[in-house]
Order: sequence, then C-alpha cells, then structure tokens
Amino acid sequence: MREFQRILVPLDGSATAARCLRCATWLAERLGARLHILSATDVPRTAREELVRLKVPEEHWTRIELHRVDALPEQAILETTECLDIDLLVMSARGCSADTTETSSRKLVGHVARAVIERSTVPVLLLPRDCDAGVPWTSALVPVSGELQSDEALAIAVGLGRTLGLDVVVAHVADERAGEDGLEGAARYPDAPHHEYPEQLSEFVRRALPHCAADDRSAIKDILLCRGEVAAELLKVVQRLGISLLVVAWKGRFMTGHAQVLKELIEASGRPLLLIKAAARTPFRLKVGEDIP
Amino acid sequence: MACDFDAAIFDLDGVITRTAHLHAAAWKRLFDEFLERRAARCGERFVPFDAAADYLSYVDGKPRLDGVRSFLAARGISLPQGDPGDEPETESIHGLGKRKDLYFEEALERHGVQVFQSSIDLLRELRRCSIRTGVVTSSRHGRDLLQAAKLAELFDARIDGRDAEALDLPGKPQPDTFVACAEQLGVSPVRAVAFEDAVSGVVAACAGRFGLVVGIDRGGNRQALSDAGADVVVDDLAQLDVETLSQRYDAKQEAAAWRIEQEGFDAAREHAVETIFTLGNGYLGVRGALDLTLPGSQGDLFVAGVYDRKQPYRPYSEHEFLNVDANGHVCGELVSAPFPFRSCVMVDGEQLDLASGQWRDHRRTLDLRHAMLHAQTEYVLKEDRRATVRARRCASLAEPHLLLQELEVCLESHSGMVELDATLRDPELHVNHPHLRLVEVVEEGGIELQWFSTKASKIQLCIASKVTRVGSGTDAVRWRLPFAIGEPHVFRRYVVVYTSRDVDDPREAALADLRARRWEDFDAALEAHAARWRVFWERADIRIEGARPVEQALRFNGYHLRSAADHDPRVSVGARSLSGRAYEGHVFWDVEIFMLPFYLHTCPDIARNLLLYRHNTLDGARRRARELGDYRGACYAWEATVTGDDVTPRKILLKTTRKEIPIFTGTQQIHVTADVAYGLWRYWQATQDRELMLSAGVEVLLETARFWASRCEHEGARWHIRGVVGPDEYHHSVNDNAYTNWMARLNLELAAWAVDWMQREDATAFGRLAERLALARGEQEEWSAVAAGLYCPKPNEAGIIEQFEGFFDLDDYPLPKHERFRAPISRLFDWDKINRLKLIKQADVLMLPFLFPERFSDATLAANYRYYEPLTDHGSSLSPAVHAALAARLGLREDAERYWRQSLWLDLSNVMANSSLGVHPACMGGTWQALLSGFLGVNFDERQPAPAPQAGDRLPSRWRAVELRLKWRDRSIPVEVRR
Repeated sequence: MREFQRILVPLDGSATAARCLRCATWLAERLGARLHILSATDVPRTAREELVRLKVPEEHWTRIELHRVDALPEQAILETTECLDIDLLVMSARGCSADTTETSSRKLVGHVARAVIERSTVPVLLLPRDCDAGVPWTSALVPVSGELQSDEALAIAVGLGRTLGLDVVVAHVADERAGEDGLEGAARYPDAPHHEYPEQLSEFVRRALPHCAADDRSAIKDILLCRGEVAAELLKVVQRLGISLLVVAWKGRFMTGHAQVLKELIEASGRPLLLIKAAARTPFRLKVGEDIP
Repeated sequence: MACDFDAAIFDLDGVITRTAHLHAAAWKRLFDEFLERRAARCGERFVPFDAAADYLSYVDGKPRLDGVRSFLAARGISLPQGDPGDEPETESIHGLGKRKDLYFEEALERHGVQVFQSSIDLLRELRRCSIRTGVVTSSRHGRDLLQAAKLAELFDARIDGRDAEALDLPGKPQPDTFVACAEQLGVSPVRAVAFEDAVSGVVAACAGRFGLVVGIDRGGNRQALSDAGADVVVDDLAQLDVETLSQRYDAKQEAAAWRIEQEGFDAAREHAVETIFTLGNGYLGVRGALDLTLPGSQGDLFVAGVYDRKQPYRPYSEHEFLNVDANGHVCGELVSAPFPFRSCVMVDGEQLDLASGQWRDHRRTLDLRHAMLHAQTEYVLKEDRRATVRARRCASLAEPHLLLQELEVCLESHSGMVELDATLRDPELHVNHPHLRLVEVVEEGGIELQWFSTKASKIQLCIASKVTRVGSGTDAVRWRLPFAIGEPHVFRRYVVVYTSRDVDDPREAALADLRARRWEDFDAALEAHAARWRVFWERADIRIEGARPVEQALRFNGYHLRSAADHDPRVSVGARSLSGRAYEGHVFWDVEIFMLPFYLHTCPDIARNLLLYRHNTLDGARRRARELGDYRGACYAWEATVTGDDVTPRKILLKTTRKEIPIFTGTQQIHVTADVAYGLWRYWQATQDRELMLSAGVEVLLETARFWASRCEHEGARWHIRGVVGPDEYHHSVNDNAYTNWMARLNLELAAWAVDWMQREDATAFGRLAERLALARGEQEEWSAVAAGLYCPKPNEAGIIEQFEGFFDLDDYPLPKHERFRAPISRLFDWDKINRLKLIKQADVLMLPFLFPERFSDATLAANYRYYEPLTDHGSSLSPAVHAALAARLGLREDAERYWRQSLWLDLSNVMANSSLGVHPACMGGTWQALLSGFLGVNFDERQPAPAPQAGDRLPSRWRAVELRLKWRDRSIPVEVRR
C-alpha cells in the first residue's frame, strides 16, 4: 500500500496557503513524513525568517525542508515533485493570484492548481476555496464506482485510515437516471438480489484491496449504497456523517464535460479532497473465446 | 485440401529472399567504419561488428533505426537522434540508418536478389489451397525486392518498412505490422500462420496472437526461435507442406481448446480468476488462489456438506444491506476453510510476491482434460536477480480426500538461500474463516495438521499436509536451503482433508492417511486422478467442428459441473457450486431443472446422488410444509442446505434509508417441490433405475403430491394455487402461475402413477412404505382428481398463455435496451412497483415448452415467445439459455445464437464481473440443454434420444458438425449432427 513519506506544500504567501500549511504539518506529523515547503518569494531571507514569515509553528521545523522559487507556476511544482520524489502534494484549489479578479474568483480551481492536479502523477490533497483543513480528521468518505480506477482510491483511503485512525466510509451511488444499472462493474445477472448485491458490494471493497490483510480492512466502518444523483447523494453522506476528508478517484481530465462529480464536490463539500488517479494496469489476458480460433 | 487456417504471412528477408547476408554485410560495413573511426578518435580499441552474433542479437528483423539504436546501446554508445533529412555521412541515428540503406542498395545491385525456392513452392501450394498470403518486412526496400524477384503477384497483402512508416506502425518485435497485414487480408491473426527467421519477428507474431508461428533457422538460431515462442522450427520450408502445416495448426488449436490460459497479473481481477481456476472433485472445492498466496487472495476450501450458522465475513462493521433476519439456522451457510496449498517462498530474505513485488512473466493454465492447474511466474528480486516458480496442483478425482501440489523453484541468475514455508496456518483465521475455531495444531514427523471445529454445527474438519523436496528423503513444513544458480529444486506436497461427516475421528484419519502415503506413489496418484477425468471426458466431451472457442467454453462448463458434484447422497450443488462464497452454498431449483439433465446423460450415478439428497432431506421438507401453513406431505425449501430446512433470508434492511425489503421467494416459490418430482421423472425415463424409485423416488413423489393436494384450493369445479412466486421473481403473491400449476399437476399425476407402479413392482415394499407414510385410502384418487381439476391456463385466442391470473392487465413497461441483461438495482429496491408491471425477470411461461417441448406446437411456442421475450430483462443468468433453446427450435437463428453465446460465456467472457463470486453451474447446465434440445433438437422422452431430422440446418454459423455421446438406460448413444 502506498505510504506518504514526502509531502510537498507549495505556498504563495496567501491566506489560503496558510490553511494548506496547517493541514500539511498535521499530516506530516501524524504520518511521520518529511514536509517540503516550496515557497514563492523573491525576498532573500534566512530559512528561519521564512518559516516565521509563513507562520510555521516552531515545533514542526525539524521535519521541514524549505525550498524557494521565484514564482509558483505549475512547472516548478511538478518539477520539484519529481526531483524530491514527493508522494503527496497538498495545495489550495485557488492561490492568491486568483483572488484579484471577479471572474476568476468564481472559478473552483485556479489555473495553477488545475494544471497540477491534471498533470501530477502523485495524489493531490486539494483544499477548496473557503475550506478549512478540518484537522484533526476523524473520517474519510470514498466513493466507489465499481470501475477499476476507484480501487486505488479505496486502497489509499484504507491505508490512511489505519495510520490516522480514521473511520473509512465507502459509498456507491447508483444513478439509474444516467442509464446505469446501479452496480457498475458488477455482475450482469443479479439472480437472487438479496444474495448478489450485498456480496457484490463487499466484492467492490475486497477487490480494491488485494494487498490488504483482513485486519487492515477493519478501518472500513460503513459500506453504503445510495440511489440518485451521484454528487448530491455523496454530499448528503458528508453532511450526515460529518465526514472530514473525501478520497476521490478521477481520470485526470478537468476540462468542460469531465469530472462533473468531482467539480460539484469541490464546490459544495467544504472538505479537503484527496485526488487519486488510477495507476496504469498491468497487462492481463485470458485466452478464451475469440483468442482461440 | 481443406485447411483450418485462412492465411499465411511471411517475413521477406531470410524467409522468401536470400538477402540476410547482404543486410549483414551492409551492417558490418557501416558499423566497422563507424567504430573504427570512433576508436581512432577516442583512443579506444576497435572491436568490429560480428556479422553473425551481433547481427542476430541486435539488428536482425528490426527496422533499421531500431537496429542502429539497439547495437549502439549494446556498445554503450549514444548518438543524437538526428532527423530524416540527415546526410548519410552524419553521425546520428538517422544518418547511420541512411548510410546502411546505401550500402545495402549497392550490395543488392552487385549481387541481385536470390530467393529460397522451397519457400516459393510452399507459397504457391498455399495459394492453390485458397489460403490468402501476405508479406511483412521491416525493410524499406520490400516492394522493390518483390518486384526485382518477380514475386509481387504471390501476395495478396504487403507491409514493408515504408508502409509501416506511413501507417505509423512500430516495427518488430511489436506485433503491429503482422496484425496490419492480417487486417489487409481480412483474416483474424488467430486464423493465420506466420513464418519468420528472426527472433524479433517470432516475438512479434506471438504477441499478435497468430494461430501458428513457424520459425526458420537459417543457422544457429533454433533454440532462440523456439524460446521466443515459435510453435514449429524448421531449417527450411522444404520440410513443411500444406498438409503438415494444417495438422500442426490444428493440433495447436485443439490443445488450446482444452485449456484456459491466463497471462499477466491484475490484482483487481484476481478474485474472478480464482473462481475460474477452482479445482474440485465434488467432495471439496479449492479456489484458484496463487500457490504463493497474496494477502488479498481468497483461497477458500469448501467441503461439500460442511455448513455452519451464518457469520459476517466482513472485517468492517456495517453494510448497506443489513440482514435483520439472519435466519440463524445452524447449517445456514457453507463454511470456508483455509487455503490448503498455502506456500511462501523467500530468496535471501526477500519474499516472492506477485502483488507488491516485481515480476516479468506470469501465466496460469487450467488443463481441462486432466483437471490440473499450472502456474509459472518469473519474479524479479533486488538487483534484477530472477527466480522462477513453476507450480501444478489438483484435487484428486480418484481419492476425494486428497490434494496434490508440486512447486519447482529455480534461481535463474544467482545462487542464494531459499526458504519455503508450507505451513497451513492462516494468520487471519478469525476474519477470513469466521465459522472455524482452531482446536489443535499437530506438527510431527514432517506432517502438519490443523484441526478445526465449526462453531455452531460442531463439525470437525482436519486439514493435514506433508512436503518433501524431491531427492531429499525427508519431510518438513519449513525448508531452508542454498540453491545453486540455474538448478531447479522440486517440492511435492500431499494434503488430505477429513471431516466428522466422513469418519468418526477425522484427526486420526488424516494423520493415518498421510503417514501411509509414500512419495514414490505421487506420480501414480496424479495418474489415477487424470485417468478418472479421461473417463469423464469420454462420456461428456462435445466436439464441434469449426468452432474451437465453443468447444473450449463447453469443456470449461463440463469441467465445473463435474467438479461440483460426486458421490455423496447427503449433498447437492449450491448456486455457485464449491467455487465461491456467494449464495452461501444454498441449493435451489437450479439442480433439478438446469443441471440434472447434464449429469443424467453424462454421469447418471451423480444424478442419482443429487436425487437421493432430496430424499435424505425429506424431513426438512416435511417440516417446511408444516411451517408454511400446516400443509401435509413435504414442501422443499426454496433455499436449502444439508438438513432440507428453509434457509432463505426473509427480509433485508437498507441501512441508509431504513427501508425494509421483504423476500417472498422463501415462502412463495414453492414450484421447487414439483421441480424435484420433475427431476425424478427425467431420471426414471433415462435410467429405469428401479432400485432408486423403490427406495427413495416413490416416497418423494408421494410426499410432495400430498403437499400439493393440501396446498391447492378448491373453488367451483376447479383447483387453484394462490399466493405464489413463479420463476419470474419480479411478481409475488400471484395466483395460478402457469408454470407452478403445470408442474404441480405433473407432480400429482406422477404420484398417482407411482402408487400403481410400486404396487406392481414390489407390493410388500409398497405396503411398508404406505404404512410408514400412513397413506390413507383414497389419497391416490384425490391426487388424480386434483391434477385433473387443477387450473392450468390455456392459450388465449392469440395463442398466449397468461403467466398468472391478471398478468395481461398489468401496466405496460417499455423496457429500455440498456436494462436488458443488466437489471437495475431498482428491481430490488422498488419491488412493490415492479410487481405491478408487465416486466419479467426470466422465462416463466416459456419454461414450459423448454421442459416439455412435445406438448407445445410451434405455433403456440412462437406466439408465447413473441409475447414474453420482449418483456424479459434477463435479470437471471438462467434466462438466456432457455430463450436460446426455444429460438433455435423456432428457427430464429440470430436470437438463438445471441442468447446461447450470452449463456455459454457467462463466466468466461466478462472476467471482471460475473465470476468473482463463484461460477454459475445452473447456467452451464442450461447451456448444455439449450444445445441439446434447441440446436440439435434432441427429444428426451421415452424413445432413445436422437437429434431432430432438421438439426443440421439449425447449427450456428461456422459449425460444420457436432459430435457427442449421451448415456441412456445403461447405453452410451452417439449423437452426430452435420450441416
């Protein structure tokens, strides 16, 4: 299971960045991770001065490494991520530069954050506008679609859940109006649904955690099946259960017409979102049917 | 002559044309010039290009730029890429490539094109046999060479280096150029033969899944071509003719149709693969988890008949579907026991782990003919050291308590310390196998025994194993040995399983069994197992000329059906057999209606045991009749285990909404009782097994008839059956369901017949039975009267039989296309709304012509098929096979083939979804029936089974003939249908 041992938080000196820092320092401490701060400043200061300026509490200084750049375009963030072998990025959906114009303030995700989440190969913990870090976290919600890509998100959530002591809630929303059958990726024939659906739902979870021993799965407290519009149902669960963190699988495309559920969650959940892209799957083939003449 | 393959695709250089030496010479001239100049410049030693070794290793068969890169990389030289406009003198990849071209053209001009005459002869012979031919070459001069050699007219399709560039196809060893050529020929690669002399080309053809790959060894390359995957290696094509090729192709495809092979590894698909690769012998089933088990493996061992009170399997505390009524039956759920093949291998302290570690090659093959699971994995360890593990295992069909496993471990690239831990201990027993309490672990003399007890049913279950390293003469559970590089070590393991259902003292039985087993008998034990499977396949194999994939899938189905049942009359086959936890091992109508005919006509002794199970659980059925309303006789439970008591859940509670969903099947789907009677009747027809009827069959018929006589309600001149669920489970509490009433009538008639029959056959025995059952005078007449008066809806003026009273008045439901075969979850959640719609889950009325074809005219069948088929969403995996059979009879070829394919490949086609929870044995049985009664039109009645005269016309497209054997009254009847 993936562990977060090197966390990068890019800071541009804005107020929103401070929330990211609070979140990142808490996470780094709880995970025993190294925290790298990428600070955009052109004023020469000592590291101590810079940490003071960024209001990093002194007790965290020993686990922090400070890196300075002139500005924070996505390229600098992505290159630093790669150079430092970072495994988690923590950033605000909107930096200070976006606060300046009326049009851009309506945007959910600023252009830098958008480029980073689209292009990053490591998970990104995104703090939406006006979202507090909400630490200490107590619970995480993982929507599972039944598609293979949601497996990775669940695996990461369970790992975090074990380390941070979070209650992990798994939710599948069947949006039948969207022409789906309810359990995407489940068997084509429900046969006896009272046997099939509970097993299928459990199998979603088991399948997602192939490296996970049974004890680790005990971080999962609830497996929910909801019906309705996906984002709306998930938001209800967030409210009802007072969820601290959302762990969301997505395909990495934020343009119009894509990631609709994710956009709605960023807009309305008021919670940090850990965004996970599915890793490339290893080759697999079963030689049946058309594979033999 | 007729060939089974449709196309032949040839590499050019070295296969057709003799230009390899010109290429080699051009490469040598190029690289020697370059290397010499570079050596002089850098003050290094000049090591020339080896026209034999370097040519074969780095450049042979590859596009020239890849050849340049590959050789330079081998010498640790990096050059700029350059661009296509580079001059031949430029020291760039493109520059060198261009210069090689120049040198080759010069050589070609000087020496001309020579051809291999034997290849040309074979090409012409293939074309005479209407085989389409193509040529694939990396050379940019491909077309020129063909023209120069006057060979162009011998090929229907050509791909050369220039085409590949234009089409943006990567060169060999990527398969794309070969596949593109097959596409140009309009042939699937699997139906084509590829000819190659270069290793990279053989790799390309294998990756492109060509039906046969022929390697041509022009000198010193035989082993490499073979290792790369060539099916046949010859020195020259003179050694092959079309007939030999056809035989080799056929043999390879024949072998492929006897196995299920998986390549690569995807953790998310692992549970489905485990199901498909389940081994079983009817006594037990073991899921196909990896021998070197992963943390997430679900390597359950199921022993038929070992049930316990239902336990939550989940390590997490809550679930959407709360079972507020867990039923609590002491034998409510099939017990999952720990994986008996569990092994762990460490190399120099590093564990071989497919999921979190590195691997290069992983494949598993289920050999259907011998019911043996093979696995081979090449693991990559730290510092790129490699270890190969080959494994094979089986569940002995000859000795039901015995499992056999063999592991071969080899360190390929280094010597090191290898540890094998073969302990059976499951570190998470309490979570993975919550029914079991570990009573004792015995380790003595190399034997390890784990003794479990089920928590509620108190069944004792013992699994014991011993392992040896071949040649060591000792047994041990844990091994630690230094391995020399390249030296394989073989470990062999006996595992035995005994329960207190089989013997009084399973602990002692297991230990005694293992102590008595000698390693020199291991091969004989494997052979005894294989021999039993050979006997099975002699009776059960179905040959389909012209459709190997269909043969393969039918064999897969036959394999799983045979693995699911054997010779214990106390157990039957659960909805997911012994291959998965779903359905908790519960037994449904699936057995008598869908699976029984397969067993009846391949292994009638197994069919007999399945019916004896119903006799053995008659007391449970009697109790059920009382529970349901103080009815008389016996009513079989909709879902049953070993006691015959009903274990159907009664309701579920949705956690999020607190909504309660009642489950009506347990109390209302009573047709299962008559389905058992139907099964007995079929068995009697096929076997005339007097002994079974006297000892068990008649009693079952009488007791079930008694139930119906008390369950039917009398009103006016008619008898009715009210408040039932038919096969279509979307409608509950319905009256006079056509299927239920029809089957109940059959049950009553059979009982009335059975009384007369038994009195004739053995009056004394009948007297004893009548006394034991307190059979009253007049009961037989009552059954006949109820049967005669039972309302069985007749076709209306349109020829349609109403599914149940009032069905025609229900609301219409325009069934969206996407809901067919994928019933949405609202079918469960909105059960009360669905109940009011003309929407059905599976064949209901249509079950009748499926089971009683001779009782329905084609016109009536057609009317009902046309009416009900569009209303059916196939929410049941049992539905497609029934529709396939009926559509075939009606000559609706497209429907028949579509439905049959759905059914045939249910577990194999969508490996992600359908199989992870266990295989669908009833669907497999239904598929078999649809083939027999639908496509072949075999009538199973009093007469000897024979195919319909017009069956040859009904065969699906591409099938040329079907051959099989059917057991019928102690005879084995050959059935053959040709187009």
